[in-house]
Amino acid sequence: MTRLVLTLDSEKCVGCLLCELACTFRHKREGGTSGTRIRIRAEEKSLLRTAEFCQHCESPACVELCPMGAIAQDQETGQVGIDTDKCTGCGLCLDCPKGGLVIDPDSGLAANCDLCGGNPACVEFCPSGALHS
Amino acid sequence: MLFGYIGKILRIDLSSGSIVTQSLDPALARGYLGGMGLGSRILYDELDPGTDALSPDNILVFASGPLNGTFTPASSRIDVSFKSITGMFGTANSGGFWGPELRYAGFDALVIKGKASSPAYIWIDDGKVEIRRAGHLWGKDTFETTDAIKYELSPSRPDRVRVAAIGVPGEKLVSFASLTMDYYHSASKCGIGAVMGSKNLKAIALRGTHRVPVAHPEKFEKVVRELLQTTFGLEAGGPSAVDTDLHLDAGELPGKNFQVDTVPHWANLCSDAEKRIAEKVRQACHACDRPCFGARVKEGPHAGLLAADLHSSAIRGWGATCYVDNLPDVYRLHDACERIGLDYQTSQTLIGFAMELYQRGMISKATTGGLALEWGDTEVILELMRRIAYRQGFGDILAEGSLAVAKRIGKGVESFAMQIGGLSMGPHEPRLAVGTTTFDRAFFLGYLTSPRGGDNVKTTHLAARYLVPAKVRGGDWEVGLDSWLNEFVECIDVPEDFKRRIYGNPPRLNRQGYEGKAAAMVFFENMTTVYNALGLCIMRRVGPTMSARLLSELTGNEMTGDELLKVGHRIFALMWAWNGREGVTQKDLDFPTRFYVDPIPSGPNKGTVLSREATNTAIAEWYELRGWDPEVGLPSRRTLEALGLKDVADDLCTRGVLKGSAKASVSHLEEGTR
Repeated sequence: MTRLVLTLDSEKCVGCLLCELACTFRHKREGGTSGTRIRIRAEEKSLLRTAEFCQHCESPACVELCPMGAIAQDQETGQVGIDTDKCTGCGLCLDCPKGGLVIDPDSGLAANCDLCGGNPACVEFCPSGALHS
Repeated sequence: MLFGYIGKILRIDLSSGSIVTQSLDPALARGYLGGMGLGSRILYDELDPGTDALSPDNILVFASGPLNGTFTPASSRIDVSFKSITGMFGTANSGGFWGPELRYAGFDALVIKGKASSPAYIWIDDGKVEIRRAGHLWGKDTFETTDAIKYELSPSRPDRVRVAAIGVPGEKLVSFASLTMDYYHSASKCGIGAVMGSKNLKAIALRGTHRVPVAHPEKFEKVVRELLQTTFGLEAGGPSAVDTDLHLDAGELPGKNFQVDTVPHWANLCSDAEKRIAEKVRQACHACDRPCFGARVKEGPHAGLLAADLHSSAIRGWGATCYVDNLPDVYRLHDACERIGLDYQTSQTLIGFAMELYQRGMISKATTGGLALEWGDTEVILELMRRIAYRQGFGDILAEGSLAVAKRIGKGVESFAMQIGGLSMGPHEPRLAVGTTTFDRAFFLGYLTSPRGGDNVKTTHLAARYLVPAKVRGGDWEVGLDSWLNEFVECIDVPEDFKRRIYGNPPRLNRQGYEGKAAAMVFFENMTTVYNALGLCIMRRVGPTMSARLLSELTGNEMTGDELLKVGHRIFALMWAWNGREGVTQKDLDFPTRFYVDPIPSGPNKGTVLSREATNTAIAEWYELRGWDPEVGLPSRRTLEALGLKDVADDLCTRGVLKGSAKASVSHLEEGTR
C-alpha cells in the first residue's frame, strides 16, 4: 500500500505561508488563510518553522477520539477522511498529537488534509521545494 | 459583493476614542485601487492644508491593496500615507505579514487621527477593535514592544498576532523615527514613527480570519500559476552583497558622504566576505516566492546575529557613506536601526554628514558631546544613534534631520547635507549613469520627481533590472549584446509606444545619455505607483499586463495594462497636487550642489559630474510627456481633468495654486494622457 502524505523540510521552508494560502484557495476559492488545513508555525526571531497537517497515520488517533464514528481510514489508500454527515463539530479530534485536524470556520465541522485528490495545492505552490507529497 | 476587497474601512479618532466602520466606496476602489491610491485620496479630501505633521490633526492611512491576502506572489506590502515631517506627501511602505493581516482582521484600510490622552495601542481582533493602554510599553524598543504585545494577546501562538510598533525615537518625535513591523520589516520614511508618537500611539496589533472574495477563481489561479513560472528563484533573493560587488566594479559608492567613489575596504563587504562570515538563512514575506533576506553570522563575537531584510543599500550606506569596514558591524548597525526604531537610510546619510563636518573641522568634540566622529567607528555610530533616540546633547540636534543641523551650525554646511526636499538621499551616486549593468540615468532622475523627495523608491527605483523576462534572464549579454537586447526589449512588459521612446528603434542601450530617459521615468513612476496601490512588492517586478490580468480576474472588472498605468498616473498626480496645495512643487527638488560641481575624484568614473543642462532638458521632456505644467511644477489643469481629477483641479485653481478659474471647462480632454 502506498500512502500519500505531505512532508515538510523545515530547513527549506521560507515561512511565506503560500501553502496555507493555496490550501484555503483550493478549498474556499477565496484569498486568505482562514480554513487552511496545513498550518505553519514560523518562529519569527529564531526562524524555526514547523507545520501541522494530517499525516494519515497508520493507526490514526482521531478515529479513536471521534465519538460519532465520523472519521475513518480508507483501507486501500490509507487516507483518513471525515464523514461530515456524522460529524457534529465537537472538536474532540483536535487532540490529535500531530495537530492534523481543524474545525472548518465555515461549516463548524472537522476537516483535514484531503491531499486535493492527489495533487496537493500546497505542494504545487510552495516556492522553496520544502513540501512534498 | 465587492470582489477583491473586504469592503470596509476602519476609522479611529484617538482624541475622542470613537471607532467607526465605514463601507468602502466601490468607485473609490475602482479609481484608486487601494494602498497609496486610497491613502492619497483620503489625505487630499480630509487633511487640511498647512496642518502640522505632529499635531493631532495629521491623519495616518494604513491601506492594503486588493492583492494583499491573495496568493499572488509578493503581495505583502502595506502602504501608509500621512503628512511627512518634511511637509511633503508622507508615504512609507512595508512588506512582512502586517498588511495582509489587516484584511484578515476585517478591514481594507485603517484611518487614524487625533491623539490619545495617554500612551495607547490599537488591537484589532477579527473585526473587534479595542484601544488599550500602553503605559507599560512606553520606553521599550520595537522588539521588546512586539514581544510584549504578542505574548500579552496570544501567549500560545504569538506568531499569529502581527504587531507594528515604534521605539523610543517615535515617542520622542525624532524626525526619522520608523515603524517596525514584526521585528524585521519596517515602514520607515517621512517620520512615520514620530507621527505615531505624536498621537501617543505605540503600536497596532492585528489578527483575523476574514477572506478576500475572488471574482473569477479559476482564471485568477491560472494567472497566479503563470506568474509563479516567472519566478526569479530562491537564489535571486538577498542578502545583497552580490549587488555590492557590482557597485564596486562600477565605481559607484557614496564613500565618506559622497566624497569618494572607491572604498579600499570593500573586499570586506563583498559577497566573498559574506560567504566567509555568514550562513544564508531565508525568510520570505507573506506569499513571496523570492525571499530576500537574510544572513546570520557564523562565528566570532557576533555569532548568531541575524542580518534580516538587508539590502545592498544598507551595506553601501554603512560601508561606504559612513565607512564601516566589516560586515558584522554593518549587520549590527542594521539590526540596531530595526530594534531602536530609526530609518536606516536616513541614519546613514545623516551620520555620514556629521562625520564629514567633523572631518572638515566644522564641528568638534565640543559640539558632539565629546564623541570623535571618525569615519567607520561603529561604537561611536551606535552611541550617536542612542543619543538621537533619547534626544541627548548632539543627538537632540541630529534628531531634527540634516537641514536643521545645517541651520543650527551655519557656516554654509548645508551643501554637505545629502538631502532632497528635506528627506535624506539613499546611498546611490547620481553623478553616474553607468552603475551596475542596467542602471541608467532614468534611475537617478527619479530623485527629482518623488512626491516625498529624498530618494527614488517611489519613482524609478525598479529601473534597475526592470522586468527582465525569465526567457532572457541570466542571458550572457556581454557576448551577444545586440541579440540579447533585441530579445529583452521584445519580451519586456512595457507598452509598445513607451518601448520605442525608452530604447529607440532598433533598441539600443544608452545608459549614460539622457535620451529616452524621461519616457522611462514616466513609465516607472506610473508602474511603481500601481504596485504601491495594489499591495505588490516593487522587487518582484510584475509587468503592467500581468498586474492588470491579476486585478481583472480578482475584481471582475476588466482592466488593461494601459488603463492600470493611467490609474498610476492619477495617483501620482494626486500626490503632487496634494504637495502643491501645501506649497511644494517639483521645482523645489534638486540634487545637492556637490553632484553638479565636484567631479568624482577617483575610480573608473573619475572626473564625472552631473550635467545640470542635460538634467534640466530631461526634466523638461518629462513635463511634456506627462502633460504637466513646467512653469508651476505641478500637473496641469487639463491633465488633472483627463485623469478624472476635476475636483482637484478646481480646488487648486480656487486656491490659486494652478492658473485658471475653478469653473472653466476644458473642451478637449486628452484621452490616454499619461
